Amino acid sequence: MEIKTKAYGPLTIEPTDIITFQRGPIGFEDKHKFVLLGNPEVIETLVWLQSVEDEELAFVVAQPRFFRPDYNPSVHLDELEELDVKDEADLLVYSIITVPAEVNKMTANLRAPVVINVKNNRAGQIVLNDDRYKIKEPVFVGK
Amino acid sequence: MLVLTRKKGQALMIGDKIEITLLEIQGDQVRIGINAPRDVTVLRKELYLDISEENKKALQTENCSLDDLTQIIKNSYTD
Repeated sequence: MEIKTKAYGPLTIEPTDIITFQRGPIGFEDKHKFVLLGNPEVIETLVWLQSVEDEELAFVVAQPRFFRPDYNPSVHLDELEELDVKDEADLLVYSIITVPAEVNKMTANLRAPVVINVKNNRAGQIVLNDDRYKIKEPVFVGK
Repeated sequence: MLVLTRKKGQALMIGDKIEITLLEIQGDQVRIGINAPRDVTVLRKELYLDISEENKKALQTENCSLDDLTQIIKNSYTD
């Protein structure tokens, strides 16, 4: 199927690539279908989380391990009932990245990661019950 | 909005699975206990609004090259 994307214009995607949010990202709860564009299999890279339904709805996301190797929030599987997670190893965790005009002030939302169950492509944005993780965590430390 | 008056120690039910108890009242602060199934997200509203706001800000990322940004991050960690 063909979709319109913010970064790459029209693109053909496979229906099996679609990631389904039972409840869309916070503030966008009515948007349910997204795809990852870029190289999501590479940990050390940024990718787009692009809405299938809305061209303008596209987030830059990254696996937080890319820039925070110690990021290891405790997430209970039963909090992810909507995702039907059987094994924690099936979870992909992404942080939404905010890129301001001044790129080196880029921040990552470590408090509310997007989690994807790779086994069934169900996803959700969860909010961690842990104050150590910030909504605006600088990606560059001490820079 | 439904408005109910409750005293300390009293509770109310939302549906048959969510119970909210007024634990303590001190001046203009109220401590509230919540019993809810784990799949029900309970958040301070400010936090919900902050995340919602941040998601909207994240959308304003203009068409930047992900490769360039990726490289910038990599360089900053290998310096």
